[in-house]
Amino acid sequence: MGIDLFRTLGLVILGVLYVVPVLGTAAEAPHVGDGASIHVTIGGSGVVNAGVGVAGYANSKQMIGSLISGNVGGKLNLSTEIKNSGVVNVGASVAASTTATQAIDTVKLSGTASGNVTDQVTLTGSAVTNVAVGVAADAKACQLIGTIGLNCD
Amino acid sequence: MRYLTLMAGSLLVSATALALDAPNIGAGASLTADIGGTSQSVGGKSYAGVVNALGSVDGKSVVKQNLAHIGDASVGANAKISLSVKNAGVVNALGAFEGAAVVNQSIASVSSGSVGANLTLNTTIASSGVVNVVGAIGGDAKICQSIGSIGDNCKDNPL
Repeated sequence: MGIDLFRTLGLVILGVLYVVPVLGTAAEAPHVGDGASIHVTIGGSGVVNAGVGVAGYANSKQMIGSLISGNVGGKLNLSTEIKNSGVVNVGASVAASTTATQAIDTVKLSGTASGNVTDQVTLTGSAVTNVAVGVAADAKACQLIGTIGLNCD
Repeated sequence: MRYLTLMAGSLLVSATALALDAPNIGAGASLTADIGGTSQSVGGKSYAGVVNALGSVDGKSVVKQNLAHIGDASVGANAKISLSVKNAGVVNALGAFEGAAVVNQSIASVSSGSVGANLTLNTTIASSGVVNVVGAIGGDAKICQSIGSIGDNCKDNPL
């Protein structure tokens, strides 16, 4: 009787200990091991997040070649090359209470990179635009290129 | 007591199976997407290649497009994702979206899960366009585009 009780409790505890951490990590910020390399080349064409206007209480976020969140264990190598093309976050205006954020080759928006970080941005004959037209009151338009940290707090 | 033991065992097996729903990939995974072809006319405009949602939505909607993407998976070391967009376009949402909408386009990115050492993400966009939304966006919308990135920019916390 005592052995069965011990076995039962042991199984239950083992099950909880095994299952809870695994389920808890589902859909969380990613974990990347030692050494990550990201290279983006945009040439001869456009990249657009929102082609037209963005109305109230909306968020428009465009990230290219960036560490947005999560952890990178070792070296992180980011490079983005934009040649003869346009990169646009919002093609028209952003209305009140909206946020338009554009980040290119940006590190640690929310996360850690414990090793060496190499960050290189090359723009040749091309335009990078966060908001193409107007920004209304109470709106935020934040652009980050080759930066570390947030500028949209 | 034996019944309880069996119940606990069943619980363990069931829960483990549930936890293993997310894919587990060993070392050396390689995702390659090569989008070539030529442009076509859609709605009077020239788009081609890959289109996720075409039309208008008035109510609550979620429009997600993932190309060469790792999400909620466990992947071993030396994973490589390569995306090449050549003569055709990639469009997530083509139309007007009013109301609470989430329009998320993630290309050659890792949004969640775990990846081993030496991850490589290569993205080349040549003579075509990559567009998340073409059209008007109404209130309470999230429009998120990530290309060659690590993390999920459609969550509230990062930005």
